[in-house]
Amino acid sequence: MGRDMKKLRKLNNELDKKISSENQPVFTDMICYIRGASISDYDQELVRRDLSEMIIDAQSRGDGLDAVIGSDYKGFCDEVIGALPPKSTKQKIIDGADILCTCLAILGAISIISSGIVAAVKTGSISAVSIPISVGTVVTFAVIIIAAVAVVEYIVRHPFEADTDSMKGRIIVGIAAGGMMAALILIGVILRSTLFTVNLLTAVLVVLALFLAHLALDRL
Amino acid sequence: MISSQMLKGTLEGCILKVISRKETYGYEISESLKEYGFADISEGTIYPLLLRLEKNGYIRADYRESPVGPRRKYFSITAAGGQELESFVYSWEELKKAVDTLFERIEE
Repeated sequence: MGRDMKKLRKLNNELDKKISSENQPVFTDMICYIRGASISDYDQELVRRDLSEMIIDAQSRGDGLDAVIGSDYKGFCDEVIGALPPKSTKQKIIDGADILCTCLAILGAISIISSGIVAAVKTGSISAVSIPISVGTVVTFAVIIIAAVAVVEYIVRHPFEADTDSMKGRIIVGIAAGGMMAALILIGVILRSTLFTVNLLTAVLVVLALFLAHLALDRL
Repeated sequence: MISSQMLKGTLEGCILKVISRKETYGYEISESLKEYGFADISEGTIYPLLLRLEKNGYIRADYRESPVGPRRKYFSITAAGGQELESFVYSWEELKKAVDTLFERIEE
């Protein structure tokens, strides 16, 4: 993330606070939808600033959001997205690699804490501890990453149709989450054959390298 | 009310014309357009068009504190924008002439 981007994001966070509670839900939905669009992160922040200032200006005049944007929020966002240059293939690859590095770093850190650290405490030595990587570990990691990306994609593409407040929506989300957890536990139990083992220190270095790769990719 | 399909092709040129008169901001542009008879033109309607004009280099945007209100994005026309406006005026005159001629002759 460049210095300009950081500055812009900080300014936008300040502007967000000035948006009234009445306008906040629709504003959040619009930003959420724009986040899912194939436009650069910098353009997303520029649009966020413009929308914030447009809404704050309308609030100071005593106008509602409908007077500024109309009632078709999705249509408005589609027009805005259509007016901006789409992300290049190179940027899409960088973003994909960034997501992969971030997810693997988080999952790796969880594995280190859950199995590696516990074993190190038991044996009293860090260098002697190895973390077994089973088929189940690989499949679980892949399923978690795919599911996480799918959930985020669904949320950013359908913010105006969100139905999580209704009982039906909550039941569907609950069943899906429960089913997912059960499937992951089952995968871990069934596919236990070890593919290879990684020394705890090596695992820590790999996770650190993935995190640094995420920081580097995020700046591009 | 002018249909949105008809407006699509002409609004960008009209916005350029409004901006060419003086440096201005989104809400003021939408209010000017309303004064000239473009009903139901909100700031949100013109925002994507302003973004497109800015990305194409026809207008320049500058964030400044407003003397009477919050910070605003002020737009001014660029040299490329001036040429685009001339091109729009020429195309519009041609289209207007053709449509007027067609309606006059068919009525005769």
